[in-house]
Amino acid sequence: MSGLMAHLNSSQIAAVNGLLGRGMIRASLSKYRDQAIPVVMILMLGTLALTWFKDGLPISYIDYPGGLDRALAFSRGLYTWEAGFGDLGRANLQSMSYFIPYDLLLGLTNVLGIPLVAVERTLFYIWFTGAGLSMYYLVYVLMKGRKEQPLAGIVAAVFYMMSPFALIHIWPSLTLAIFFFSFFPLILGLFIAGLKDGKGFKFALLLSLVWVFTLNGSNSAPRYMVFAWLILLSYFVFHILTIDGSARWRAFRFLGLFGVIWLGLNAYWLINFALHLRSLVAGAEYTTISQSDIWTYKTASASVLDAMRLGGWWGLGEGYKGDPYYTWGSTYLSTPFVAISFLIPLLAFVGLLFKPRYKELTFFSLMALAAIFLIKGFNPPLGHLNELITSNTWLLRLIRNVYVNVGVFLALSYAFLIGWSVSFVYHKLGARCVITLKSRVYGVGRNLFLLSVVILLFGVYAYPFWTGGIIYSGGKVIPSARFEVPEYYEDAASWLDSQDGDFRVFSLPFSRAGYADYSWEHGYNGMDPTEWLIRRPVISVANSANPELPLQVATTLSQTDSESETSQVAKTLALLNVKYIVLHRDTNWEFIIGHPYWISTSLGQYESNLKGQRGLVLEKSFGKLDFYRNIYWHPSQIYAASNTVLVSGSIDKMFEVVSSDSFTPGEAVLFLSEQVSSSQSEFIQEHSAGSSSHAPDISFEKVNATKYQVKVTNATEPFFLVFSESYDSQWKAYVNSQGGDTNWMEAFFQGAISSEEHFTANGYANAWYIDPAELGTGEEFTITLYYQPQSLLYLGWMVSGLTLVGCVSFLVWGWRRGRRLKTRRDRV
Amino acid sequence: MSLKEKLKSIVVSALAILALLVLAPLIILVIAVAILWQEPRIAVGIALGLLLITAITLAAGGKGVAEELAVYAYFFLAAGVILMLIKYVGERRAKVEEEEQR
Repeated sequence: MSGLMAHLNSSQIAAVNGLLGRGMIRASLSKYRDQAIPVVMILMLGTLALTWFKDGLPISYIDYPGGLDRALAFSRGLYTWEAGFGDLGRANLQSMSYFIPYDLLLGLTNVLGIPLVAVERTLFYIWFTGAGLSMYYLVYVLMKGRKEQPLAGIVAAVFYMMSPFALIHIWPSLTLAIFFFSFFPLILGLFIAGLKDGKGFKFALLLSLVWVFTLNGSNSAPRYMVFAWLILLSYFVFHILTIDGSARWRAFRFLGLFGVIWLGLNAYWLINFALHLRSLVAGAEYTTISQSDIWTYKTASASVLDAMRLGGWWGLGEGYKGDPYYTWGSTYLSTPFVAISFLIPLLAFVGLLFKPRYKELTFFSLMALAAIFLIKGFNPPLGHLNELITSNTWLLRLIRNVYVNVGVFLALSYAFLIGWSVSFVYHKLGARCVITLKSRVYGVGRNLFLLSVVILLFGVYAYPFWTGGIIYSGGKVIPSARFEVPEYYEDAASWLDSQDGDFRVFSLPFSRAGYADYSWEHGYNGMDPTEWLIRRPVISVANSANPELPLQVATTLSQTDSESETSQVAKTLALLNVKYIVLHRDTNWEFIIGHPYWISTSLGQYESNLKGQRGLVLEKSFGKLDFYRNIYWHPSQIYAASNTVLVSGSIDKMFEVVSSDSFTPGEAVLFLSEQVSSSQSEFIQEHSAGSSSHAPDISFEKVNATKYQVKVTNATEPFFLVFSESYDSQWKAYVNSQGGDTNWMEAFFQGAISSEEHFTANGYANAWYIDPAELGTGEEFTITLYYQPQSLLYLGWMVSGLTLVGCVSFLVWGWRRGRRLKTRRDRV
Repeated sequence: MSLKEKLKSIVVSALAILALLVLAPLIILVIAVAILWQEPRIAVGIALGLLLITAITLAAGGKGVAEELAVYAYFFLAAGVILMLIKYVGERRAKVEEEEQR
């Protein structure tokens, strides 16, 4: 071309350039038009999610944290200890992992004053449209340059958005797994593009950043991170097997770059996660509702017949007290719908008949078959093999709720396969244009074929998406998923805000699993929102390391033969730092009575038992909320005690000891022989000072959820410092004889009180033995109570920040170097 | 024919039948694998055919039979896809070796 140009004059060159330019513009316009039309269609279809909101009400269901207190949600992601969340305090090593993007988004929208319903609408649109767009991108990468790609992309995208899996699980359950569902195809697409094109540093950084801002939203269930890596690595192995030479080296280089950048960017949560993996796994097992992994796996699995049609979810035809779990469930089980459902596997695998040598088709077919094998559980075929593999490996723990956990991969692989098949059949029919009459017949035929698929799969079979039935509208007993918080909750919150001191509230009726069901105007069914609404730590769940005491209190208050006129309940609650019991008279009693998740009784029984207890007084009512004050309570978040009581036995025994008249909560400290080691037991007996001894004066400041600064004065004798948060060996007490505090960096190096002198007190709390003489502190000194994983979080943030800054600097340096070299070349 | 000969012929016949019973499925299997090895799409085609029959059976109310048929459909699909993968990798390697020899 340059040789030709040399023979032309300037006006001719301008004319050629003009022609070339116009041609290129036209070519690129045509290229973008091919992609733009499907993308616009997906964006338009996404608006369907906005129609699911009715009467301007927000939606909340089961495990979806609806952001009722977005400021609290934001702060949860910043600290490794959680003072509330329905519990007596718990390690919070997971929230930070989904701080970006979820809690960050909630916090930002809160600062900007955007109403919750507007935030939810936006999120629903992003999730629904995001699923389609990311699926479209995956197909674009897999079929780049093929004429079938745009149609395959749009069919795959719409199928993925409106698949039976999304219909049965994703939208009705609304967990944070929705981030994974919506954006994993995008991550897979980017990864495949990186491998295929042998991309470098810039692309690996882009992929890692996209992962952090999308997939990390699902880290509340870390299994999704494991799944994502498993699929990416499986594709990598598959890819390596089917390429050779330099392409292999480039693929390895891309994987290495991506792995390193990913690790660096995710350090802010990965460090804590890796160091506390064992305790995190153990924490996931705390449950008072006994469901073994095997039982869950068996319940959640389906026959191969159902699994192949992306169905088989046990709840589809089930219900509760006459209400179906899915209003459209019975329609889905009817013969015409079952017949339509066979279109899914038929269309998915029919593509294999046309193009068996296409390797992507083989990979996604294998993925679909593997997913079906896991979803069918111990059912035939090869049920015993499945049992052998899953029961003896970590796989069972990972996939136990198998339809929920593995269904997403079946939906994803089916989406690609169906997109491929439909587009291929469509083009195949269109290609036979030899004779005009025949071509017309084929033209009509392929349009009819496409129309049938669209009507049957995306119209009829996905009808709850179009009618809004995907969001539960409420039955006789099961309430609607849409809700409106009554105003009296804000009145109660204001009243509690006006009170000083750190104290907890005990919520009744008590749920073992942390759920609530209210008979508000539109109903409510989901996670217990009391803590978010009254803005105080609330005890409302027994899924923790210390469920016994709350359970015992709740059980006593629900029994019909509950012993009255005893101070047992009030004093135990005082030990838990509970000032008020809140009785929800707005509970949906018909729903909770007899439900295994609740310790339930009638409203009348609760009222009678509460009034019968010594030490509990009905102080205030707001609408349908009754607040009973605990007269035994006095501020006991942190206190010093010289009196010790060593109880020989378990929590039951402690319950008895507490009710004795000689025991005053907040003045003595209780130890259970079962909760301390034998050497600690001897230590307590040895250092028990007796009732005549003198406890020092204590004042404290809560710096944040992970740090308390305690000032001790008049410390003439040894004492126990009690801290009323759940016992955790990572809570450390740093004594500063010169005053001042211990900062996060010093916490790595400064010596804390030894673990032998750190006890479980009052059945759940932390206590440290402090001997001023031994420590050489004098009578006045300060103690910093600090939750040590917080330092690792700060360290992680630094590593992540440095990785990002380092990567961006490297890019800028590379860009500037490129420009310098270009300028030098131009000069030469 | 003497009793001994009669017994002998019965035993031989029984052994022959037994051998056929054992060998026949093996022979069929070998032939099937050989055919499928040449063309894995046959297995996929059979699987899709079985799925169609499954749908009709289920619609007619034969859930038990439909589930059995679905199991076979799954087996044929798995066989087809795995054979496709093996063939693809094998052909790819052969192509690479051919190019290297050139």
